[in-house]
Amino acid sequence: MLELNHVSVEFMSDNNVLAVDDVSLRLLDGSRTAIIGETGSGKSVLLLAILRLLPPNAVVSGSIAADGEDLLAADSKRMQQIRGGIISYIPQGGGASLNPLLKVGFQVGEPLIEHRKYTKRQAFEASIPLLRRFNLSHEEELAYSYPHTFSGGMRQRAMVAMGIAAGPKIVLADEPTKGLDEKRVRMVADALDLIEDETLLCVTHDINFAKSVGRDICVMYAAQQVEFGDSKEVIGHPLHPYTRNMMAAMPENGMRYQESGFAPSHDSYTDEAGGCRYLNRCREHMERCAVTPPLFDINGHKVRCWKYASSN
Amino acid sequence: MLLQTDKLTKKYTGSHGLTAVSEACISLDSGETVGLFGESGSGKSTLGQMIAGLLKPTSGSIYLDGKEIRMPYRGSCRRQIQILFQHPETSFNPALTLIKNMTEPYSIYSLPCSYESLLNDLSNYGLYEEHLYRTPSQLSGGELQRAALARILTIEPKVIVLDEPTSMLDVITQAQIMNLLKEYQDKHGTAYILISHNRVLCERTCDRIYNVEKGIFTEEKSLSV
Repeated sequence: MLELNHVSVEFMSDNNVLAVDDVSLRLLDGSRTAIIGETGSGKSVLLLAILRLLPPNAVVSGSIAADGEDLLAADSKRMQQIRGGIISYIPQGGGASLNPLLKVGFQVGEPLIEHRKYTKRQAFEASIPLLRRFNLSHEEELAYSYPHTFSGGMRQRAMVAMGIAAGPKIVLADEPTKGLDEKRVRMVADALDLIEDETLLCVTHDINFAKSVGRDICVMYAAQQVEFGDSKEVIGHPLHPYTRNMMAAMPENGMRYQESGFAPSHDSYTDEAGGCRYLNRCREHMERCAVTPPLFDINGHKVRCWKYASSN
Repeated sequence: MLLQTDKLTKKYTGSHGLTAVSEACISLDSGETVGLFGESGSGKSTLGQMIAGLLKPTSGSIYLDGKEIRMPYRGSCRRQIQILFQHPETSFNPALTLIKNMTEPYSIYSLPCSYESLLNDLSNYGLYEEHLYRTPSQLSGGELQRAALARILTIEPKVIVLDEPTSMLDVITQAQIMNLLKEYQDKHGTAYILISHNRVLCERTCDRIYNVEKGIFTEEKSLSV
């Protein structure tokens, strides 16, 4: 189980930026959660905070625990064991994170050398069934190939195979479909469907993809969690005005969102005046929105909006 | 017809001898949005780059207002066809602040520009004084794409090639960019070539669509949006 309690991340500089503000998530074993939101809302920073891969000027507060183990207190040696061994990370970019100078089979099997004490040869051989599992046909030939011979979708599936190679319990995927076409998005969704036993936390800005991979959806806006619930509920009956606008802005729904203005700049989250972060763009705002709303829980569907204060 | 391509072809030499675009014949009228829809690697961006004058065709011709145009585009021809890229960060000089990046076209085309008018124009795109002295790395993807669009529109081109302009952005920013483009088109009659692998987006925003498969462009039946 992965448990995040009141996690905040602030980047310290001349102009401090609060990238994640008070996020709490409880991911049970085998759960599948998608985090959606716009660029700069803090989704990717949250994943990097879990693995403690943020730059030194990032201050993480709150608590992050995997199966009861406090990740923020773990020493660097222990974190090396956790990264890839217990929690793996699939980065964004159509698999651009693969090393262009190494054969794909070696890279897919590399976590086994690091975490399961395999030899290079054993790890390479173990990569072949992993590639097959993710529907990369001619897997033996592909294991001996270099990344540039793969399409974006194939590279991203190889990244998924690498992510689960060492048998982690938790898989974090950061925008695994960004920039991919529909066919390749489907391939990545199918690959993630094959991860059945692991806990999946996937960040994406593609709502259709979030719907297909996540059983739960968490919506982030301006560093805060603004909605959380069952994916069918969040997409079918969104509560927060931002989530509703996201659904309305989808081309499938006619791109008819009801919003004023544009997204705030990253550094405007540090505004200490308080209030709902969505206030300036929200057409349903009221007097109460000048005070930051808490996360209201309506039968398991959580929403950060004063409109639901009486339903809590 | 504002723009036409006649059997436009791009072949790459080398061991594979790939034909990225094969005898593409597409047309575009003023005020029209034409979609190029296909998978990654099908050749749609190659055609877009040839039309924008960034890539030399192997054979075939491009006509603008009935006159054949050839690379390198110069003068008014260069100004009339512009391109908006998928990755807005690649459109800007990373070492310059936004204000310096934004004023480049004004100096290239000797257009009158004042600080107040620039601020006024940018406010239509959700960009304000606070953004002007930041470098591209300090702006979000949505802010950069809106800035790239604002910069293109300052020189009032006749044709804009939109190469996956929103595929890296969230749905609200995507809708904002597409709405800004639509508003501008309604006022100025600019023609757009929208390159996308999002079928629904093409159907919603395009008057006509060309399907692209392995470098072959086929026009689909007329769409009513």
